[in-house]
Amino acid sequence: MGTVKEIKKRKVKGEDETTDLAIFVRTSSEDFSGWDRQKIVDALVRETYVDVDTADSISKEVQEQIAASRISVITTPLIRELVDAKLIERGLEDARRMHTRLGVPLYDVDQLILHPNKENANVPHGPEATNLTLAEGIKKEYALLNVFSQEIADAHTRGDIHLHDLGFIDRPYCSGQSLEYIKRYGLSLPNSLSIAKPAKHPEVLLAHMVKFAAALQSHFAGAIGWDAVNLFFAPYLVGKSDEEITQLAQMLIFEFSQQAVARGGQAIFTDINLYWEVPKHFENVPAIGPGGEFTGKTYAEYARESQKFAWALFDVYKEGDGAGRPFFFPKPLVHITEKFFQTEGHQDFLYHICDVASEKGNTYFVFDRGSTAKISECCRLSFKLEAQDFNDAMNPWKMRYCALQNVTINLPRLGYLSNGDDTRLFSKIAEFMEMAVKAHVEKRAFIEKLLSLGEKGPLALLTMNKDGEPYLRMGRVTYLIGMLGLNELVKVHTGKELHESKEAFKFGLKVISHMDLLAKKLSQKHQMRFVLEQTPAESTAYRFARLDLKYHSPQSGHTVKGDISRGEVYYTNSTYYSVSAPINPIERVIKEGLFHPRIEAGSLTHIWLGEARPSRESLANFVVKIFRESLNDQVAFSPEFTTCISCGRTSRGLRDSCVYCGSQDIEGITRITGYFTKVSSWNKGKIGELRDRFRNEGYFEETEKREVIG
Amino acid sequence: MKGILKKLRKGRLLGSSLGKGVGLMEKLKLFWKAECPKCPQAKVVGNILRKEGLEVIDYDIETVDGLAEATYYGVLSTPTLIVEDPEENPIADFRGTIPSPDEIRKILVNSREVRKKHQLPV
Repeated sequence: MGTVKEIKKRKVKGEDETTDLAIFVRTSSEDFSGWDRQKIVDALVRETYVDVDTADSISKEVQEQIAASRISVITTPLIRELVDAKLIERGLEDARRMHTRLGVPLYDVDQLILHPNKENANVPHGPEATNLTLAEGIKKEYALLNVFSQEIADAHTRGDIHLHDLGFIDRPYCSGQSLEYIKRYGLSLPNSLSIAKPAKHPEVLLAHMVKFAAALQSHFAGAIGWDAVNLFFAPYLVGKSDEEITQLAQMLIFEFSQQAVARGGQAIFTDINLYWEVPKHFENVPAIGPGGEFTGKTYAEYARESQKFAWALFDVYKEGDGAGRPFFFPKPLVHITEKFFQTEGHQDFLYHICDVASEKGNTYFVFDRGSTAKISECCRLSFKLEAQDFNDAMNPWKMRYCALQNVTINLPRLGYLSNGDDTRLFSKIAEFMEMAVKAHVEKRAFIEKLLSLGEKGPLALLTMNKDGEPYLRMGRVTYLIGMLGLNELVKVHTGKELHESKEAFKFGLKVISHMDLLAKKLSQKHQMRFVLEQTPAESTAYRFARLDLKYHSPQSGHTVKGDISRGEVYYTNSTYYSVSAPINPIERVIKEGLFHPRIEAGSLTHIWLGEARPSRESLANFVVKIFRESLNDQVAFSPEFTTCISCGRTSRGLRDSCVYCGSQDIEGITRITGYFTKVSSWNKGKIGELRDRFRNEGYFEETEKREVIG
Repeated sequence: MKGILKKLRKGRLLGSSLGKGVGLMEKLKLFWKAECPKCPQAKVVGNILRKEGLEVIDYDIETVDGLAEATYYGVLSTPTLIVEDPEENPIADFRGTIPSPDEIRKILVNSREVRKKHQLPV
């Protein structure tokens, strides 16, 4: 690709005297080359299906146009655009698409370099972030032009569906990992400069884990979840003092929370799954210890070390970072199971993690009832272990899972399109689901193409084969179908929001049941595993609301949430009740939880605490009640904080100024979707949601009010 | 109690409530699916009670309406039977187990007695 060049124009003598145009083109190899009409012909023939004669004729027309104009400065992108205009004149739409130049306007680049990206609050502002955003922009265009069919690309652009992480089109979406893989095989990655044998010391294992996570972050678009981290570290912790274990816990949390120096300046979105008990499916599994050797014991024999490590991790979470703020990553997910309640010390541990939930909000409570077991990652995504996964559990290094892509359906739009007609609505849902499936089929084909290039291809890491099968097991991946704005769809269709009437609520269940049954049918038909997911929808909730205001006004104007005059509009995420509905938390947990069995890839209920600081006892009772009396999959409690940039202290609640020094140079911190972050980095839609959130202040019995937390 | 049960078996007691309008009937909701070995037996129980005048609604959980209703009641296994009072509040449930018709009859009788005590319509 060239950029700027100056033309010294001479007259064009005849058809073939292309060299008479003394034009110098700065090429992509940062060199100047002279004007050569043949290059237009070559490019057209190479990149499109246009025949040589047409290409020749186009090149001559373009040459004449340039010569006839009085342009003093020309760019090669402009030449390409002129050629594209000729293709359009001839009705060669496909050829124009194939000949498209992907790039970014100068103005946009200037804006990107100067101003932060608000699409993802986990991307800080800096040169690395700009690189990431620019690359994402080009890959997004590439995906829409070259990976997906026109039908799917248009459906995304219109906002019928949302194809997530288009800027990471050449990677799978997210994954669940096992520490056992690096414990057994060490750190030996394709293209790496050195190979490390299996770790002998816990600190080295941690270093391997962090580096492997960084490598995985470069190969997946989203989150990296780690299963049973405390248990798998346990064989390395035998004989270690409490201080050493605490030190390791500190290292683990700081290493992951300070990784904002990696890809695009983005912290690695990391989940660590923790168990107080030794999960049943790991009890009799031979443990791997230092040097990657089997210790001769089973994991059941490491319960003590495993518990000590889990406890120490929560000590660190409770303290927070150097300014007393909550750690944003890694997110700790504690699995509450029947065995949890049968394991000694569970009550104290429950108080400990509830303390952290109340003080800092970090704890995610994952409820595995009956014989269910899950690995959680991303904002709420989890993989429910199935029969074949339990077989894998005997060789836990095989327990690596992946969701290849997430496609979200704009539910409120289906409401606008069906005008209150049930039959039309349910057939439209099927139509949109089929579009999502088509998008998955197209993405799978693309990823398979990249994987087929093997160790010389871009996804070499995912093709490495150390245990008899590739690291990424394509036969086992899932394809996510997300939903957004069920609450608004129900309102458009029935006149009431989910929480406003039993009929509205039941109608919501009917929509999701329909989607669940369809996902199963489509899975059978395509031999691919489609599962519903509660899309976290950090930017999609905003994007769909804006697009519907554009295409479905005035109906959408009465439906979208937020403040239209400020542009802070959004739809309610997934199957949630309205965030502003004044419902007590247990009712919210129970009612929202009724949707969870239909949403196989994981669900979550948020309890917004605002300034409330529940006592550990009241939260613990609440958690037990959730486990016993609801079907809710996962719950997180979200307090709010204000951290002062001037004095470095942190206070409870979102404030306009620091309670200590009065400075207005402050940062608000709370949970955006599935993670904590600074409010200043949020997009307008989420800011609108934040204003609307109903805070459960006064519901829980509180601990003594203390202002200082940092 | 025995007398009431006898009447119930003969369908007289339940049948008599039909005259009070559909809105005042108890309901038995029965959730089933095709590949479920115990479901036919649950349907037999449902049919016996249906003949006695009880409103028994079958839900195939592999249909949209059936699955939606099952989801509302948190049904995770089949067969599941849920007994509701006239205001559609669940008063008893059997999840993965099959009650005898008598068990259901007893529940209905008890529920009606409680409702009478609280001067609720039966």
